[in-house]
Parts: sequence; C-alpha cells; structure tokens
Amino acid sequence: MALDDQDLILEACRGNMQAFEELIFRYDDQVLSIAMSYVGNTDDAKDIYQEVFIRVFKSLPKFQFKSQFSTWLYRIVTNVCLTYHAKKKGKSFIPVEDEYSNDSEDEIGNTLVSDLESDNMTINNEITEHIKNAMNTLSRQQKIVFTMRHYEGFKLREIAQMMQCAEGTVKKYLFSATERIRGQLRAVYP
Amino acid sequence: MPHDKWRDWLQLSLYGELSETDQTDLEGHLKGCNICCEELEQLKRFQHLIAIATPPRPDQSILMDARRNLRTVLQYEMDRPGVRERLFEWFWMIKRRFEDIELPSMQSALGGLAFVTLGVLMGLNYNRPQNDVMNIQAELANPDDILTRGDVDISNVRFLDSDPSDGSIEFVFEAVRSVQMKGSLDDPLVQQVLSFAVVNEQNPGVRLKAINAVGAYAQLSTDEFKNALITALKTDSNSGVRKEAFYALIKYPFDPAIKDVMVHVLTHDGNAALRIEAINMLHARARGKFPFDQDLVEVLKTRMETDDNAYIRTSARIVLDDIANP
Repeated sequence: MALDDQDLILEACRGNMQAFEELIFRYDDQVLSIAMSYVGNTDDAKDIYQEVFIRVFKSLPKFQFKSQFSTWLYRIVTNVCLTYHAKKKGKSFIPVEDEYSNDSEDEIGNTLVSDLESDNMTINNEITEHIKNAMNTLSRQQKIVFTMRHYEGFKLREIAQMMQCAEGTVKKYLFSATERIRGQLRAVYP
Repeated sequence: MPHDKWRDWLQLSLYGELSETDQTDLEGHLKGCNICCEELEQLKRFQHLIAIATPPRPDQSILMDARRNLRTVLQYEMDRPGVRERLFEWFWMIKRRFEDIELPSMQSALGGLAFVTLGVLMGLNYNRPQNDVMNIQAELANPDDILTRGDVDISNVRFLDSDPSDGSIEFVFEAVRSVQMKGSLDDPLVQQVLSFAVVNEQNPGVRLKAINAVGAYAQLSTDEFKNALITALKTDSNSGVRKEAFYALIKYPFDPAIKDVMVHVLTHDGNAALRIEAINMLHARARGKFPFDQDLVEVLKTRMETDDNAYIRTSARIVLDDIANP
C-alpha cells in the first residue's frame, strides 16, 4: 500500500528526499493552482510555489501532527500569498485600511465601460478580465478568501483554519469581497 | 431578522454552507419576499460570471518547471553550510586579516572589535527572516573576486526587490565558470556532475545526453545515477527526456524504488506514450511471473477504469488478467 502522509513526513524528516517529493507531489498542483488564481500570472505563481515548499522543507521537522498535513500546508500557502505582494512591494491591491474607499470603484467602472466600448475580446475573456480587475481592488484577505472559496472550492471552515481566524471573520471577508466585485461589475453587467 | 442577514444567508445557501434549519427558514422567507428572490437571482448570475472567469488549472509543463526549480533550490538549501559553520568561517577570515598587522596594541584593539562585530553578526543571523534562501552574497567570502574574473558568465538573474525607490535593490544570480572535465564514469566526481546535469541542466538536449551516458552505466547500478534518473522521470517538463530516463531506468533491477516510479508514471504522467511504456514493461513482468504487490494492482485497476487512452485501459485489463491467472 502507498504510504500515508504521516509516514512520508517521518521518512522525509529522516532525510529521505524521495519521501519529501512524494509528499509534496500529492498537493503541489493545487498549491500552484491557488497561487495562479491568487496572483494571476505564471511567474509570480511559481515564486509562491517555491516559497511555500521551501517553508515546508524547513519547518517539516517541527510539524507536530496536531492537524492534517494538508491543513498545515494550505495555512502556509495562505500566509505566503498574503505576504507576497508586501514582500515584492507591489501595488496591485488596495491596502486593507483603504478597502472601503469608493474612489477606485468609480475609476474601474469607467475603465470597464471604455473597455467594453473599444476592444474586440470574446465575451468570456472580457468577463474574465473585468473580474480580474475587480479582484485586484480587494484587500489581500478578501482576495485570498474569495479565491479559496470560488476558485478552489474550500469550505469556509477550512479557510478559517488556514487563516487561523474565526469562521465569522472569513464570512465577513467573503461577503465584502462579493459586494465589492458585484458593485464594480454592475457597471458592465447590470 | 434584518434583510442584510437574509442576504448573507442567500450567499451561504448558494455555497451550500447553510445548516438545514437555516435553509428551511430561508426558503420560508423567500416565499414571501420579492426583494430576496430578486437578490437570489442576481447572486446566481454573479456566480455564473465568476464561474466563467475561473482560471484554468496550471499547465502540466508549468508544474514540472516549478518542481525542477524547487528541486534546485532545495539542493542548494541542503548543501549550504549551517549558521555555526558560517560564523566560524567569518571569524577565521577576520582573524587572518588581523594577523597581517604588526603593531601588537593595534592587534588587540582590532581583535576586540572583531569579537564585537562577530557578536553583532551572530545577533543579526539569529534574528534574520527565515526566507532569505538565495542570499548568495552571504555565501561568498568575497563575491568581488568571483565577479571580476574574466571567465565567469552571469545568468539567471532574478529580482527579489526591483524597486529602487529606497535606494537599494536585491537580486540573486548564478555566476558560472566553465570547467572542462575528462574522466571515467567510475569517477565519483564525474558521476556527481552527470547526475546534476540529468536533473538540473536547463537545456533539454544536454539533459538527454547526460541521461544517455548515465543509462549506459546502468549495469553498475549506482544510487546517484538511479536517483537522478528517477527524479528526471518524475519531474522533467520535457517528455522526450522523461522517456529516455524511463528507458535507462528499466535497465536497473526492479526494486521498490523502480516500482514506485512506475506507479508515479502511471498515475501522474500526462504523456500517454510514457504510460503505455510503463504498462508494457509491467505486462512483460506479469508474463514473467513477477509478483505484483497491492500498489501496482491498484494503479492498474485505476488505469483500466479511468485512463482516457483506450490502449492503456485495455492493456491494464490484460495485465490484471495475467496477474490473476498466472
């Protein structure tokens, strides 16, 4: 029978790199997928993927089996995603303290309308682009919750475990993210 | 209950995250509330738009590339000396510099300074963030010496901080110097370099050549080569390279490591031709009365039922028949 996660972790901690690889290959496609959904481009997603598994590699000996390995791993993914832009000093999201500011909403609404009038993208690409733009106005927490729920299908309880916060907090992020995106899409998809 | 609460429940209901009791209450409310019915329709339209914008799963080649990069970085992590070794290295380097100074009092003063500096460095080292994995500058005694040599190529520059607004930027790069080498495949250094090339070389043509050389040496069955081939077969983004690694690996005795990599190919490899090769190899073993363990039987059953390639489904069934009726 194939080894379970716990056996692979113990083997990996003894220095067995094949066991470590087998362990991460069970989850790494989803880690990359989360990263892609979150940052929206391959290069940054690969950076996040790498950072996640380096942290796993370094921290695995400290793993105490108090939770599932997957929960622990996705917690690391969430942390890396949340700190990624700050580390890169990127400006692709609105800081948390500005998240309820309405200024950017008007700007994006105008951009969306002018986009609609001018370009010849197919309708699905157009929708994707608008949603991507809208998502980039979310706070990091709103974005990761929205990504995990809508694109990766995690339950709110699971997301709360990953973010180490209450389920109610996750709901708050999700509802506010949904409202914000809906508000911006209303300009083009009433 | 205020309408805002019902609106939240509408969303939770669409996510399937509402308890049975709450769902019943919500459905009761919806029967008499046009505002919430309209809100529900809008939320459904919104979810439809979001579903359209769901990003595709990452391409297999992107995943393979990410795995290969990760492997290189992890190798670097394992090879780098620990904090204690580096502190001793710094200490001896400082000490050597001071030994050139002839004035004894100056030696004592600078010696004291060196210890203070070492203490500060130790403090910084223990307090530094965990993620500065590729801080090459800290790894080199004197990077200037290396960078000013004429025979060094700089490549693979990657920015950690490309924003110059604070007066500094940070990046990692590879400083590569050509080394010509001629030797027997028995030489451990040659084996090390070839194994490295199999796994880490950027050019797939070079990886192929390295695999061919390693494959020719399979009769001596060195673990270094075998592990490199297993890694290439599991992680290389180029299917041609994986195929060559496969051909080289089947020359090795069929031990648990080879069995695991066959299971991996059958389960994860997106290239049908490779899965066919793996099935054919297992078929030959089944005819040779090779004992199959539960892992192999399970993976064959899965292939028989779910593989999108008809030849693989049929072959898996035949192999399973041969195992059941030896």
